[in-house]
Amino acid sequence: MNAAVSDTVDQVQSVEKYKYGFVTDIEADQAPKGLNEDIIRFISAKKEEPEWLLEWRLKAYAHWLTMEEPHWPKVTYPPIDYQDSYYYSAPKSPDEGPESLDDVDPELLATYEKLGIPLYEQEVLAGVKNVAVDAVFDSVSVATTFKDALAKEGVIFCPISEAVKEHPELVKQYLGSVVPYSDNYFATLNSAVFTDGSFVYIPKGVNCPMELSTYFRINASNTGQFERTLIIADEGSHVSYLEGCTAPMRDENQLHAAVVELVVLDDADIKYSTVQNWYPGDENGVGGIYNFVTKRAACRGKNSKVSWTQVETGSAITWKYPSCILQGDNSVGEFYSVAITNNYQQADTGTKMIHLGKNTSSRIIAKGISAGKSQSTYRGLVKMMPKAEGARNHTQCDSLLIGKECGAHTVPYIESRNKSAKVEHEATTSKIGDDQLFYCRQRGISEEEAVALIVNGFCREVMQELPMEFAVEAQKLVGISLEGSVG
Amino acid sequence: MSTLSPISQSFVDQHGDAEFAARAPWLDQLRQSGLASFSSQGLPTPSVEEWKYTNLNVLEKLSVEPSSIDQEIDPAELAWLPEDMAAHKLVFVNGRFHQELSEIGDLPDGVRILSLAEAMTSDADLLARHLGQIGTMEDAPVLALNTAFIDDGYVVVIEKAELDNPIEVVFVSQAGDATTHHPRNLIVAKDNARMTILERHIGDGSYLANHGFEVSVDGGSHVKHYRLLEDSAAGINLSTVKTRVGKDSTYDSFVLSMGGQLSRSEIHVACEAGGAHTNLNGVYIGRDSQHIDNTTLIDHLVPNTTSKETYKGALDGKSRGVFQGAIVVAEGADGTDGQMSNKTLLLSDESEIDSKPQLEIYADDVKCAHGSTTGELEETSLFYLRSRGIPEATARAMLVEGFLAEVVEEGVDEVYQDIFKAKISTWMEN
Repeated sequence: MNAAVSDTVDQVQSVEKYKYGFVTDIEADQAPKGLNEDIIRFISAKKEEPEWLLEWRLKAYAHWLTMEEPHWPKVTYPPIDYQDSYYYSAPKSPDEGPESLDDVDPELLATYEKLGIPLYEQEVLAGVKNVAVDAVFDSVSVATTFKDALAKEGVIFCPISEAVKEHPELVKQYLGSVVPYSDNYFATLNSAVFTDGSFVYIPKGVNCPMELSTYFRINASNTGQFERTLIIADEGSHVSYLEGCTAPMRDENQLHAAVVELVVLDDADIKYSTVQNWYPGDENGVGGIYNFVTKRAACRGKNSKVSWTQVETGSAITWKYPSCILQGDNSVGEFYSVAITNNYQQADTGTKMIHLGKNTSSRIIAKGISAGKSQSTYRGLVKMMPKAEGARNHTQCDSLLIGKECGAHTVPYIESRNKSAKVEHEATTSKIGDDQLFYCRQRGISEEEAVALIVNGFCREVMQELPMEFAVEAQKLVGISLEGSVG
Repeated sequence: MSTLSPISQSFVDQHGDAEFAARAPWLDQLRQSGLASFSSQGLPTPSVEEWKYTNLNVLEKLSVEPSSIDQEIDPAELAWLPEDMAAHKLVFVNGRFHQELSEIGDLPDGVRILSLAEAMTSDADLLARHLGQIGTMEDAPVLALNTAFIDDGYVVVIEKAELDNPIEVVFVSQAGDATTHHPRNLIVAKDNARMTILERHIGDGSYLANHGFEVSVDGGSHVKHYRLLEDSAAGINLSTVKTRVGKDSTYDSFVLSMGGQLSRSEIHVACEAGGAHTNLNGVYIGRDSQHIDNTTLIDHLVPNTTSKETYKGALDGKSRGVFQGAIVVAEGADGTDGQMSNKTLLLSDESEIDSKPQLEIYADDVKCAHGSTTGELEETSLFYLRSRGIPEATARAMLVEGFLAEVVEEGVDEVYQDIFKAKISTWMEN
């Protein structure tokens, strides 16, 4: 077989439908189905949490019971039965927690291997760049790599359940300070039942020596995943954080309601990148993850900066608005997003930029691609408060439609209460030009490949914001997600 | 809605006009359906998405008694068109047609201009065919309220005819001890008809004028509908325009909103057949605590329809502007071209703009775009003028006027542009 042919074979093989759709057969420690105070006490006890955290959870639960599920997003789904789900599921391990990778169940390591997430440090060392990984499997973090190397710099990177024990003062100070327990229906639910997630603290003046990454995996059936991530960048520090997610193919819908809180102090910056590839359901819209996530960053310090980059290709329904509260003077918020929907997927995503401080600026680039029978909505808020002297925002939303049965929508909210603040918004909607397609086809590129090529070009402005490792994966994902959308 | 707010309830209680039912029993059914629809919805609150930025609780301070008629009006106060401009004039005082102040000239064949009250007896069939036909009252409680109180307004029907002189309509609201009225207006154009309507809304004291419009433009017709909202400082002006545009027809709307403590101009246009086109333009200027809302919805229902929309505003004092514009392209409506733009200048520290330009698209072969900007005057433009010896205040006024005049030039026929430009200049001078 010559090189060109084997290349093609590889290419074809790599374009599998949803290659992360397998199930790992692993014994799991589960809480009984359903949601009530006892389950919350159970989770809290499992995690050996201090009293204040349990109280916080119960307070959230009590509040949640008084709330109504929101229905304003442009998505439709059958009612969720919150009692018909497991709120805690952990792979059973011989002792309390893995001390090192050797203690981790080989079955688990194999799972991450298959997902392309090497947990063995030496394997990563062989790569171009170091990436420290925290792997979250259903309700618990199973392994965190490079902890020692990071500890040398004073960087704390560990499961949040561990941080509660080891660094209670930091957790107590910042948990819920950006997304309070009463924030919204799903964030409140998360506050009550969150199981694990990553905790990152970058001390003053430290430039985090490697990219940090959390890999989320839903495995058990009928479970909801409720992770909580908290990242604190102290004065003058920098960190780049990556997040990836997959789940098995099942014909039931599973709920993923995560909360991510970022706190950025003076002169610090956080770059937060997500490649979201939860199982999207099959081509008839059966199964898939409901991805109802609250992500918010508080730029508290002067000259602080947060950059959200997201590539959303998975989930049956995506409903998330990574936001920035630009409180510190001169703080900067960025949001780069690609949302691809195919078949019966629905995405209602966007951002909120709340400008409070002087000379704050924000930039939004959102690219939505709809194919099949899917619906994609950009929904965003830019708000200039009275004290946001000289604030700036530029928003660009472009939608691309592939096929006659999909929809693309743009719903921006612009609220300005400061005359010196400048807000610019532009949006376009179009389809792939016949001339563009013809040009590619004429050069022997198949229609499907041509579409992937054009779409990648359409998304380029966002893709180039992704760290190298993710950019390659994301580009491939674009091709896979759009499979079957033409011809 | 299970329980109505006190103000909504008082509207319902006020209904039950036995005299009206006897006069036009056939219309009472429509009024009753409006009442039923309003009773089930009540007045909208900010929890309703379309009313997120405009709160009607200001109505609580008003008495909701129906406005009385026969007030003294000085005709000089009504004049707003150039003296040499001939027009068919209709004057409404507190929602009722005022015969003495009105003057309808000779009309060519195929043109009917009259008051709705008159049409109820003289042209009952025509009204029955057209009233309550466009749009639904569901999710439109303000229009439902208007429908519940249909009583008077203007009716213009034009068929196979071109009207050279514009139709001038003046709505005067006068607050006595009685303060609400709900004029219902009907515009029908078909078979290559052409006409221009110039409408002015004025008043004094505090009142609620809740206008309903049904506009049907079909068969290659072209309707130009220009409105000047100059209500009194305490006046509240709500209007809902429901328009349907048929084959190769055009509906042009221009609204200059500058009066009232609260105004909301809501325009829905449905492009229902190939070649349908609509231009929606508007200027809003506010000061003090004025609240000015412009809400539009353009529905592209079939292939090959187009729309163009530009709204610009300047806000001073503590005024608040709201712009909500939606373009909806239905499944299969290929070849749609929809362009929308909204630009606002904030002139003071306490002014506020809330802008929501929205696209909802279910067809792939379309060209749709929107843009929105808010901010203050460009320092560089200001510097340019000042460096040429123009005092700052004058320079600012020139720039603001120039910024707003663009929409007038785009959206209004040349002969009528000066009327609106002069209003903007006068506003700037104060």
